[in-house]
Amino acid sequence: MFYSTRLKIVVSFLAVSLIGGTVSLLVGTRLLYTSVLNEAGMRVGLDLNAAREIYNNRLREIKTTLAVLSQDPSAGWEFRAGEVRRLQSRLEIAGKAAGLDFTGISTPTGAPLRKSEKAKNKDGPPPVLNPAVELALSRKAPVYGTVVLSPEYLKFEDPKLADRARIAAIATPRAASREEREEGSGLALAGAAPVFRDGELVCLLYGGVLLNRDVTIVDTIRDTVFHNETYKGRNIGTATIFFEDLRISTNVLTPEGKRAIGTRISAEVKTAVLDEGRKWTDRAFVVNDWYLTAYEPIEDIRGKRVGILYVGVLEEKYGDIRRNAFTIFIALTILGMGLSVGLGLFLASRILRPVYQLIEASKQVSAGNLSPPIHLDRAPKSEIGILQKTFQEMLDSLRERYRRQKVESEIQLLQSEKQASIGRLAAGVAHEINNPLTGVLTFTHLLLRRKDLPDEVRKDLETVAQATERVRKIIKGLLDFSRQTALFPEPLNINNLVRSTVALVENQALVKGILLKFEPGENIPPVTADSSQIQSVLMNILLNALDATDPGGSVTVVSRLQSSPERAGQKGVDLAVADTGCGISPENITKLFDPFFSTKEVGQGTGLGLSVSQGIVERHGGTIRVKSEVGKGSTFTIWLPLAGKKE
Amino acid sequence: MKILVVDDEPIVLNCCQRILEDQGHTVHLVGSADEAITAMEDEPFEVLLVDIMMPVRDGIDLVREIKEKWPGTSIIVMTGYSTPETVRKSRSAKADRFIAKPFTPDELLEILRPIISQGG
Repeated sequence: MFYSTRLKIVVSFLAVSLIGGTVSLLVGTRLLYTSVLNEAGMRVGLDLNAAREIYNNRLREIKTTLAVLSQDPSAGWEFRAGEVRRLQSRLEIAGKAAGLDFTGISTPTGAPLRKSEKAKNKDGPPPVLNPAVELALSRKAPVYGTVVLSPEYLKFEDPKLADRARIAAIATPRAASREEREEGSGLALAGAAPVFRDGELVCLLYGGVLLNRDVTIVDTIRDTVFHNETYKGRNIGTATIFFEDLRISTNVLTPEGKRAIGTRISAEVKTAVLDEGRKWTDRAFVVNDWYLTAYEPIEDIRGKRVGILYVGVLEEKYGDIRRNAFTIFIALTILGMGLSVGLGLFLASRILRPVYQLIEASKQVSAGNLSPPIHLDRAPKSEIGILQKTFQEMLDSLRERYRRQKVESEIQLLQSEKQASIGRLAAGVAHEINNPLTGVLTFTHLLLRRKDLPDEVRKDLETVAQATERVRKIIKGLLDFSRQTALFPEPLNINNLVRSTVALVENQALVKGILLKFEPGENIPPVTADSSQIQSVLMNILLNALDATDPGGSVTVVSRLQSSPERAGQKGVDLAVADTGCGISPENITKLFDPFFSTKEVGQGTGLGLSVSQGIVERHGGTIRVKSEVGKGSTFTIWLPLAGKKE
Repeated sequence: MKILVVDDEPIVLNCCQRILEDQGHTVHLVGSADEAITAMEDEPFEVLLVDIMMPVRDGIDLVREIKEKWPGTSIIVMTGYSTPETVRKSRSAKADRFIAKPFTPDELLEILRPIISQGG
């Protein structure tokens, strides 16, 4: 039975830790994941800024290259002096060094000069101007920025560039519909720097980088911003440059592992970024994976949105973080459960140890040892401690009661021994006195029968007779008290007995002004009892009642059939004597039946009456009960069994 | 009526003699059980008054013997020590009546009356 308590405690702990663990598992994982995602989202936003910086850096390279050459005083001179080839050559060298895809010189009208050897066969000016050149001419100032180059222009610059720019649009889920199947235009970083000589525009130097299929920028972003981290063979960080909604430069891979050039942006992002010009930071489905992404529009030199710069972080990595967190949480939960089992066992034993002690102590108490060991010094200030203390107090009071009972029973024993010796003494005295008393009684009465006695002698003799009578009564009382008076039981009508007894005291009641009533019960069968002794008991109680009652009060005797107050089912008769007297105080009630106890004045009563009465009734197998209220009266009830006890 | 009184106490014997002889009975007094048996053997008495507490041989024993040998005899047991025990014993010894000492002449005669009216 102990183990079930221990089990309960352990199971409770386990349940608590399980619930706590599960809740923290769910909530914690969720919270962690959300916060990681938020963090990651924020970081992606920052990454996008870095990517933009790399993008701009590339532009700065173009700018630097062109600015250096265009501001070289020899540039204008060379152009004027017809040394264009030299300028061209220098520009080409610088352009190659800066990694430019195309460079060139334009006349102040905007017409490009013939290109290098490879472009020599091509005739005529390009059908479309380089937008950067156009803008620089109109502004008469250097222009750098993103431009859209038409296929024709690209072809003019270099047919290879036109080929490179051509990108077939690949059908992409979630993308907006698109009319063209193929993109021929190119998105480029380009610049045009006017060359002045003596304040006059001499020519323009231009150059640029075609972004189509040029992965330098996106790979630089991947390598520097995302440190080329991979996750399961895939790059965690990806970057893309869109021309409108088409991926023209990217390191996002298709499932086949190729760069996803030609795939398109989802319609949703396109609308937000390209059409509305907003920055977009959210998780997004890119090609075929979920990414935490950031997009921002790329504007060309005239401020028109022509493309999108994108960076994204593979979301799966964070899914992994979640999985890891989940695993850690589960591990923690299991650990917690293990700990709680341990703790539960520990606490159970700690809590239950005093309980076991108490159980052990209880057993010992049951076995009779009232001083079992209870380690109160170790008792905590808990309920258990209180229980221990209470138990200890209970034991103390038990011991005290036991001690008192022992003392009382010793006193009782002493009392009964005393009583027995009084009894023996009484018997001896009775026997010794009764013989001479017989003589006194006999001769007094015989003398009194004589007719020739002088009056004073007769009077004296009567006094002797009365005194002797009194001595006889005292002796009889002593004998009665020693409870050795013989019973002469016979079937008797209890109502008749009461009636005759009541009749004997009626006069006294009348004189005292007390109403004495008898309410006989009906159909009372005969009771086997010693009529004279029962009568003396009744008489004793009646006289006590009359003594206790003031004039104007009443004494009522009731007889009725009544089963035993103690032994259920045993039939008997109640004789109740109720008075309206002064009552008996509770402390006196307990002493009422003690021998020699009397509230009457000395000489008025022997203090043996009730004691003797109780003895008589008990020897009849009956009981005397008392109910009393001070000031209201007392009721003495004699109960006698119908089947009289044989003496 | 012939009455034999057995008691080791002369006062009691004396009292009984006075009370009973006053009533015209023939009274014979003895101080012990043995004497009572001897007296009975000499001439049977109709009524015996027997004290219980007597030295040598007690009254109960005597009652038993008398009732055995002379069943027609009426026996009144008297004692100054009326315990339930003695009453039970005298009953079992087939004593007819029981009287507690001390008694007045009237009380003794009252006890005797039914026996006398039966004619012993």
